[in-house]
Amino acid sequence: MPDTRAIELVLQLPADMAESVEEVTLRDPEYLGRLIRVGLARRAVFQELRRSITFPTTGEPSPGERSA
Amino acid sequence: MGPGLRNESEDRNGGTGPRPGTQPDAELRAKYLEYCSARLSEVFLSLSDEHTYRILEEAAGEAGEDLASLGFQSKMRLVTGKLRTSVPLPEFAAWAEEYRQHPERFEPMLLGLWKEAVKTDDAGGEAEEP
Repeated sequence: MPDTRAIELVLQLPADMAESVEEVTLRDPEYLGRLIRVGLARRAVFQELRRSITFPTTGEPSPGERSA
Repeated sequence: MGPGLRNESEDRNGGTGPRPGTQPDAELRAKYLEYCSARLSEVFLSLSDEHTYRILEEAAGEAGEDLASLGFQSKMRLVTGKLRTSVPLPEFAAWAEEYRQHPERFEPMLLGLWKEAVKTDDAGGEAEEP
């Protein structure tokens, strides 16, 4: 189990969505944490692909021939 | 679809969503990267903690890095590198053609990470360093 620590988030959401979030959080307190992990993983992979995939400036782009 | 109804793509783009053949290259490239990241993330998130750790250990060993000293971004860099060798991703040209023909098939998979990439590319920026 990695080290964990609590953080507080304040979000502005449409009122009905905010109610749903409160409801879900009561029923499943870990749900939002899981959701954030999914989002952060997606973002981190995206950043890594941006860094490592090159698109040739001439000819047909072929990221299949990617730099490592 | 009846009058007044919009498809998902239109809803997500305020009714001015992509039309076949109208995507600027930078936007298309960024969307391609986000599509690929969605594919890789899906696999990554399906892995057990033990499997993820094994992959990380292997990747760190190959890269000569000390796993214990790596942060989240660096670990994700290693995992992404390993997944790219095992998860098939489409070639850009083929994907772009498919996207141009059927953007509605891809738009629901995108969270909008591509927008930031297009903005920073326009400003001459680069991807975040790990």
